[in-house]
Amino acid sequence: MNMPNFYQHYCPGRIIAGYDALKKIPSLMDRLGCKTAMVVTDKGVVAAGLIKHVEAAFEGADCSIAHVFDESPPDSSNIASNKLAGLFKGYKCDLFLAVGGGSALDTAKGANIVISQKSDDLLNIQGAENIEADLLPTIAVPTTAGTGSEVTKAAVIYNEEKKVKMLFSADKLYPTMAVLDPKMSATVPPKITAATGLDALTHSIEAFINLQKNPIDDAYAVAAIELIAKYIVRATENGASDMEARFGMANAALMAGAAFSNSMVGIVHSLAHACGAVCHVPHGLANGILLPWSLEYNLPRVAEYIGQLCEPLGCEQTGSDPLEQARLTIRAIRDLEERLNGVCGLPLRLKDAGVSGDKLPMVARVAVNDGCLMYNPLEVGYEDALRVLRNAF
Amino acid sequence: MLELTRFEKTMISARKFPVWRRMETKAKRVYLAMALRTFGAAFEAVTASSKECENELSQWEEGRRFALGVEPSGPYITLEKKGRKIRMIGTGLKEPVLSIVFKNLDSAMMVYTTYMGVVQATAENRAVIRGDNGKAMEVIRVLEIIMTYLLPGFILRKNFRTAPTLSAPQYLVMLRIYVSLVPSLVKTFF
Amino acid sequence: MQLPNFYEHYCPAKIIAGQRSLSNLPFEMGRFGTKRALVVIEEDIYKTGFINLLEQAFTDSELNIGQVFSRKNTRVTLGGAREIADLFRRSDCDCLIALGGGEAMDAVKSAAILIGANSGELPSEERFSMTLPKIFAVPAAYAPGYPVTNLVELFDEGKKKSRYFFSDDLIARLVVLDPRLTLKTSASNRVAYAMDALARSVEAIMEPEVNPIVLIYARAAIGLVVKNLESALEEGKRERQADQALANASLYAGIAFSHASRGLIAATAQGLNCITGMQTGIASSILLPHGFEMFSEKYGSQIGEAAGAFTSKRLSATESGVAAVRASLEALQGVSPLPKRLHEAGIIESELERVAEAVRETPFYCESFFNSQDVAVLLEKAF
Ligand SMILES: [Fe+2]
Repeated sequence: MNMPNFYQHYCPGRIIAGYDALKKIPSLMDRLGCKTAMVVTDKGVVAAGLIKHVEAAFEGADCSIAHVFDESPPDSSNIASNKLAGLFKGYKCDLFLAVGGGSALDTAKGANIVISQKSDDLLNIQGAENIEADLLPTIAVPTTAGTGSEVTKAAVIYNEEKKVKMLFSADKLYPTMAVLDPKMSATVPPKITAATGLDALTHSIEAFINLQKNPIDDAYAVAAIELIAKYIVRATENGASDMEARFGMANAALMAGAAFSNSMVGIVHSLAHACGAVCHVPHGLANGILLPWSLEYNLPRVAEYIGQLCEPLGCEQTGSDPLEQARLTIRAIRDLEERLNGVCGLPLRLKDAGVSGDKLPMVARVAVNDGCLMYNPLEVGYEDALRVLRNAF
Repeated sequence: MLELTRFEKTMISARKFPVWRRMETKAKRVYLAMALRTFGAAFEAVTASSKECENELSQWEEGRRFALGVEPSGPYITLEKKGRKIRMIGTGLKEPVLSIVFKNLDSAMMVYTTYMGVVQATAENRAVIRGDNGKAMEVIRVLEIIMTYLLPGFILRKNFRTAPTLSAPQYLVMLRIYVSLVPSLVKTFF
Repeated sequence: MQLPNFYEHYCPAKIIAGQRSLSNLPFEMGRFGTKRALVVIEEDIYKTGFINLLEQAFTDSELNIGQVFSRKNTRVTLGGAREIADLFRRSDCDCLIALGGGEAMDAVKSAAILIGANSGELPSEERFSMTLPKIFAVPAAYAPGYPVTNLVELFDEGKKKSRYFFSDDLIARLVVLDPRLTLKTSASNRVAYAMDALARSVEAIMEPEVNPIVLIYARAAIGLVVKNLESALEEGKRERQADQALANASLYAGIAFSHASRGLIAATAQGLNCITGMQTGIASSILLPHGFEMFSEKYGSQIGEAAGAFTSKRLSATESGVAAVRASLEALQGVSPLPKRLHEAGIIESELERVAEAVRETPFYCESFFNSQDVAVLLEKAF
């Protein structure tokens, strides 16, 4: 490949992955010199019985869980973060143990910022995109395989007062450790397994074709794509018992996260964010629907790169014409999504995902202001965004 | 053996002298200060004449202040939306709600010598955005429009993501912008 | 991709690579809260004037260079490390920058240990628990692994032996790959480093249960070497691109290899270097095809995982990964100007025994993984 003019790659968290990786948490805490963990999670995770697995890992250990905070909202907010920070100090904890999807981790990150900036309200913190104080250690235990937030530096926190989303993004926000254990995602229902898996697929593909692509993120992305092609249908179909598939997807999501936290995402994500904001389409689902159409949009600029993904997706590489190759890749993605549709009824069109046609212009308008577009290989204007949305409708 | 070019070698040895290093830094700052002011003037001129900019700006709230510049010690300029156009309100940081700043002089030099676009530089992590990302996207879109009017096509095609071909009426606008740049520049520099 | 039942991966180094990346160093260092750096540089690198580029980068910054320590290109000793540590304290620095190759890096790591211990004495344990000052690396030669290993070797004059220390704090927090700094490498050196990177990547994945992240780095390194080695021998613009690609490959290979830090080829190359002074890159280049044959049967499936990186064409079902890699290695040997046999590189047969002994002393030797018999066979085959 051509070397990029300039790139950065950073993935400083320690990765611990394995079939019984949870059991390692006490010894990991020991290595960090921590004794008292604050578990941050949400009600869904508790109801699925997953916290029991975590508690079991602490049996006989000389460190402990002081409290289980299960009030992380679906969109983590400043109120939840402030409350968590107060409890954290009250229980004299020294480590955040975030168990859940992206929002539990975001809530923990928010509280961590509050504590490290010696404040009691997240809203007081100015210029927080450049957090320079050291944060307290965080161990992330993902329960879905998709967001990759266990290895990313961003935290999105909803400002309840101003009713806007605040984006924090700083090197200090990388979780100290990520623990992948397949049994933590075993109870995720098929549709969500498929949607979150497609989120990870989108992360890797967008990282691979973006302006900021570079050899190491490419390698992360390719590995993730291979694993997703191999395991996503299995994990969707038979997720409760096929631990190999769950483990494969957990690793894929992490690798995709590492790839896109450096190379970033592009048009698919900006459209998906807008679909989420305007029509409340779940993130992974929107990504999955928009991915093939967006690749078609980017095709004129990056056919070569898209074509290179044919092989990791597991389909035969035939001709040498890059455009033809790229079409094969897009075909392979559509095939994969159709199989998921057969297995769990995953919607393939925006209209089946709760988007009404008259909302599309609004979605397009929101999408063109999304920061992700900055990294897309082709410029995207309002008309372009609308065209892709109409195609996917 | 692969060699540094003669220019690179000369630069490396010249930088042995602290005086040179300070001078080089100073020179870059002076250049960037000039480039930024020119850019500020271009903002005023282009937004006054271009239809695309007008469309973009109609989405902005009145009085939005944003800054462009270089960390850690400048130069900066601050601009503001006023009515249907953008006005430069001066050098330095004047309480902007949004700023797009380069992490160092060298990265800024690459952009302001038109070696690469702002989008590419931000994608390469050479610049940081402080403030709301959505607003930053709006500013960057206007910035890209300004670039298309300001720079000749061959540079755009070589170094930028977008290389639009201007239509005949747009060339007229371009001409008008160049003409109107003169008073703006006179105003900013004197 | 085959996943192991359990793995752990850690690499806190941030890679900053590409045009003018050196200018980004002060900004990125600032994020670690450091203010004043002690730069350790090798004498011959000092002469190239690269230090001027570094100083220039700090001219417009709130951080500064407290002191520059230029050291002779010799083995790192306790005495040498003390000198650096003393200078660090006297000049009130709070972090270290290694500008140069492996020795500058080792010197910085050794000094960091003494600074952390704050007593002028080395800790008694190989694995100690104390906080060290932050280390940043600006490789001015291809530096396979040095910035990203948690290991340092230094010679203790008092005890008259090499000592090894391990700590995660020894890993550079930033690694800056600025293309200007590796340009002075000669074509044959460039090939040697590239082959070294290739050998390390191949060995990194010849492990019973390879960590998939290591596989990712190894694949990336292999891909870059295979695609760029030939262009690196040409003149002109493409060469610069290729040079930058190989420097990156070298770093990736280091990250991959540092996870297990053991391997027959690495250990044997190190042994050859100790006894005969042969450059490890050249040694790796000679040893790689033979070492590969010795292990290919045992680790066929792992090699299959990386085979795609060796070749751009898709492997048919009948073609094994091993065969593809073998063909690719042969092709690389074909374009490489380096010697293909140890005797062609001036090694005499009587030296081999001493080399084999030295191999056992290197940190990459691992009895449970290969034995002295294997070393002897490899040396004999490669002779
Ligand atoms: Fe996503």
